[in-house]
Amino acid sequence: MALIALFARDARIREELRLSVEEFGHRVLYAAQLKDLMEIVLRERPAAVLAVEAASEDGAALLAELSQRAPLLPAVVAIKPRDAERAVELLRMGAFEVVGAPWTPENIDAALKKALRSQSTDFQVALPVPALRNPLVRFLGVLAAMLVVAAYWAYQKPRPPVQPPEPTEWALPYNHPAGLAFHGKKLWVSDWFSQTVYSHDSRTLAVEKAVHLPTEVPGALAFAADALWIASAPRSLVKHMLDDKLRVLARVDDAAPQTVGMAYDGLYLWTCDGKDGRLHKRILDDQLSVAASYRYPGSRPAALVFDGHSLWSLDAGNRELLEHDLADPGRVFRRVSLPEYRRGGWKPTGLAFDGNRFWTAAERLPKGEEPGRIFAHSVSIGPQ
Amino acid sequence: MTAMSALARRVPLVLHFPERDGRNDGWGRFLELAADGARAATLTRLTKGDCLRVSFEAAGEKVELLRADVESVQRDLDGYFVAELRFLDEETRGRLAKAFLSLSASS
Repeated sequence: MALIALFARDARIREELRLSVEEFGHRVLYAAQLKDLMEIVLRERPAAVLAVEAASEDGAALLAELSQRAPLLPAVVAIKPRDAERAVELLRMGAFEVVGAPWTPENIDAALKKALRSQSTDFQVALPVPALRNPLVRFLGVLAAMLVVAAYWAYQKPRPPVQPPEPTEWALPYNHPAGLAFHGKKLWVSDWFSQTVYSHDSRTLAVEKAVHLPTEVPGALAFAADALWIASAPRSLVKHMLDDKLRVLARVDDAAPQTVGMAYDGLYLWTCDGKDGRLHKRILDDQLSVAASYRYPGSRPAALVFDGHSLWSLDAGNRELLEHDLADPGRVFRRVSLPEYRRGGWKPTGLAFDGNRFWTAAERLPKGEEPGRIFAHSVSIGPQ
Repeated sequence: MTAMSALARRVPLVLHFPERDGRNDGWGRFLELAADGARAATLTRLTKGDCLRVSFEAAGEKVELLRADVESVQRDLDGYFVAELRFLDEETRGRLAKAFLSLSASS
């Protein structure tokens, strides 16, 4: 659900569009005057604007105003009568999309979805940490106020520019991330609900590519020997070519009840099973034969990754990373707690390593009713 | 470039349908554009085999009523029609090829 600012001078049209947009599950704030719309935009920070161009100057005025005061806010302009030349003119002026009359719910929904999806791949969102109502928080508040005063005085002197901290948390434009892997400096995420594998820019997390897999319910991901392996429900491990369409090369029946994690160590494909709590070392042959199996030494495995030296697992039960001995993964070198998950509310589902940081994907509890999340974790690797 | 600005900067195009079809003109944006064809996203319903004309302005070239065939159409996750277009006019294709070449040479 998103907040949409609706602008229409005509009360009847406004009401019709409001009902339409609310039917798609969004919240609507509406205005009959441009001035009132801009107040909503600045005060309420909607995710998108839907504006009706009743008079020919409305669209241009709106887009000019938005480009100055909220340049990243996508605006969908509904025009009447349907005029392709005018539509293209508005697109050139900066409209995200123009919907021509008759404004069908289907078209309005598609345009808003596109606008919201694009926006959510745009921004890196860090959740605010909710304040605790206890004396410690009040003390910290006073301390913070003192620091602000001190900072104000210190600011009088010239100082070198301060770099903003690198973000460690991003909202995804889909709700059900299930697998995560790094390849070619891109972060790859599978979403089981939309049956799609997404490739993200690893710096901005913007979606660069989405490949729909209509015959699979994709889960764990692993890149191995110039192919992408996807654990796909029910019970299959599917090998994909690394082309634009991720064409299927092979499909192997999975004897394990629920493969939730996969990692390739350069020789073996490791998989972990969420149901029977076992780690399997597999040979990359036609059947992905299991060479050895080990009891999982944690609570509930959710994902695996290989960092170049060790096999790591994501333990969804204890919300921690486990570093395993590659020769005997039942033996754990290290357990690293993940404070990001201590707040609750997120179910870790995927794990990746980019050569520097670990990344996890998470689904909102209980049922993924909000966009999924990616967390970056700084954990020092190598001998401790 | 961010994903949104990338979309916002995509070149818009007008889709003109033959008079006999009795359809209003539509519009959309190019996702990819080459001298001999393009991939475009639009809310206008397109079907494989449609013959239409497109108008747009790209790389300093104003192209009007260029004949194009719709070679394939898919619906994307948001409900947009994503169509592969093949441009049919040799002269315009040559003009676009030159324009894109000079654009890539100067960038």
